[in-house]
Amino acid sequence: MASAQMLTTWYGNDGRLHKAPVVTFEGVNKNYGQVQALSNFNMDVCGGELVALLGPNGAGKTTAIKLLLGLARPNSGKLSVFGGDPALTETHIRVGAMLQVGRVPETLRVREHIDLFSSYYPKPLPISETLASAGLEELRDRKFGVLSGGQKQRVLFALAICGDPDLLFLDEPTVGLDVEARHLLWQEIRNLLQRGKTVVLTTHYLEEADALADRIVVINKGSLIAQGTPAEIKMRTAGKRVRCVTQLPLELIRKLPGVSDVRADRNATVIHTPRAEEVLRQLLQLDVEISGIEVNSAGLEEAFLALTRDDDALSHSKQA
Amino acid sequence: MASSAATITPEVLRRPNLLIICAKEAKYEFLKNLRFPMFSVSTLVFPLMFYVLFGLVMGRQTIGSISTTVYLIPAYGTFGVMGASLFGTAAGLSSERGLGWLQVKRASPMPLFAYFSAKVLMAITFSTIDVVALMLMGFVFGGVHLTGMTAVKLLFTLVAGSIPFCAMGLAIGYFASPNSAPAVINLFLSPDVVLLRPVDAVHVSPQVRAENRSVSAAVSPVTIGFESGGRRTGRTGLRALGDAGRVYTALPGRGTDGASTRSESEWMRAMSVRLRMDSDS
Repeated sequence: MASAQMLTTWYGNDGRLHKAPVVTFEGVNKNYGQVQALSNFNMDVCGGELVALLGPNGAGKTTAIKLLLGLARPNSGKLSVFGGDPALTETHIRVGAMLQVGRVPETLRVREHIDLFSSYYPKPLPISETLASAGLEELRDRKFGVLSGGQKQRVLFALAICGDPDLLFLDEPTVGLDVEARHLLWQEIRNLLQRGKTVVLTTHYLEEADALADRIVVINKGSLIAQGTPAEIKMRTAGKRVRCVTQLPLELIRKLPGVSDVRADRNATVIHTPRAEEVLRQLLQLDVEISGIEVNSAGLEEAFLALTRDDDALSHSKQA
Repeated sequence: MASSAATITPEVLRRPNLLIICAKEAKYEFLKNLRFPMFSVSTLVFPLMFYVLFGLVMGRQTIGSISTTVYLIPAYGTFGVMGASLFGTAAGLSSERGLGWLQVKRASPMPLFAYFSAKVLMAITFSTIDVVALMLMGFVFGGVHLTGMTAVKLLFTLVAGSIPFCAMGLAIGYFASPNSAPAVINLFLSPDVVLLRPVDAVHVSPQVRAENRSVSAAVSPVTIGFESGGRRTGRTGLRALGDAGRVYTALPGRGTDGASTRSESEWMRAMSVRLRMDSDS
């Protein structure tokens, strides 16, 4: 595992220099009644890296974040943040969090929300800097209630970073943002990483994990099922995706050497293959009228679907 | 993949001053509610409106030897205090708890004491404004004359009375969902107004020693609700409030002989009557 070789040093709450992961989960179990939200969960996050937690709805991503913020307690297992209990104030002052929230007090202004949250931290950023980082300068005197969905998300991001924390938890940070705002937020997250901050984010957008993450951790049904760099995860479903418009029947294409899967997609044909060049040469020979050729790496989406599908199949067979 | 060494924060950070956080939290709690017309209008305007209507416009009568313009100052003062304390704490807490905002705050290093004390300070501030505004209205337009000492005592007893109601409100805020909180408040408020005479709980004097049982009864839901709320959350803020609530509950039992006047006990009878009328209508 690449991250295991990464040297990370940090000062713990005891003031001593440590060389260890910033965040560790060791065999953590958490259940809500009958529902097992996390089972025997192990994960490390090293300083300065961005880890994306990826998983379908109800996989346990938000539970993991809540445990790391001390908002919930594990039923068993050990977890630590900066070598200490995540629920302690000494830990909280070094952590920022952006959570999914139903409603924020609407009658306070953006600047006032940030002013209040900044006061909780020992060394907050100047309010103007926080406003600039979250792209909120123009909105500083607006009341929260009149903001658009995307603007509200940016305020929550501002509240997460206003204390200049070393470790940031972002729970689906770009939900409801338009493309431009999403890219701005990504840039801001990259800036934080450049300043040596550590980020753990959960997301539904695979493209987001691909664009930002040093490491992706795939969770399904409360268990870690795969982890690695985006490239490593994508390699799990090796190969390329070739899309083209051709008159050749699917059955014929399926029999070509090197083709692993073929399916029709509207008026085009999509071919999965580990050897794209060889398949393309054959296609061009067989069909001179072939058009609209696109070659892509098999995306994170395919890898993710394959991983969770395999895991689901495995757990079904175990149950049987 | 970042493979270089990363060093994080070469110093031990200290918590910021609790008093500064509490002051800021209280300031924004007050502003938040002041700008919310459903709350600010109903707590600041309604008591004054009722006083003007029943005390100044339709009133000008006497009950016993006391003018209604005088009776109704503590009556609507109590009304304002109860509204500000119960709705200010319970409605805010239940919606912030139910809709995730409290979780965002708990994920930050905010001391929980600051969160709860801000709600209580906000309610006390609204209560004070209520009572002072009623007195001014009475002095200026109703020709009411109170000695300075009586005015101060009235203000103090009414405003101090907001503490157990805040405790009760916080307890309700912890049990009730955002949608049901107002209904639950009324569930607690209405029987108190009609049967248990909460008026006595906020205005205590030796003359009502005989009614002390009803005083304790009025305040006991506060203590009971409080303790179960405290057990569930185990939070310092709630415990502190619990102590405050209990101290206040103990006051009527000790009595304050010689500290009250005949008119005060008259007021209380008037308040009870008026509050019952309010709740009936």
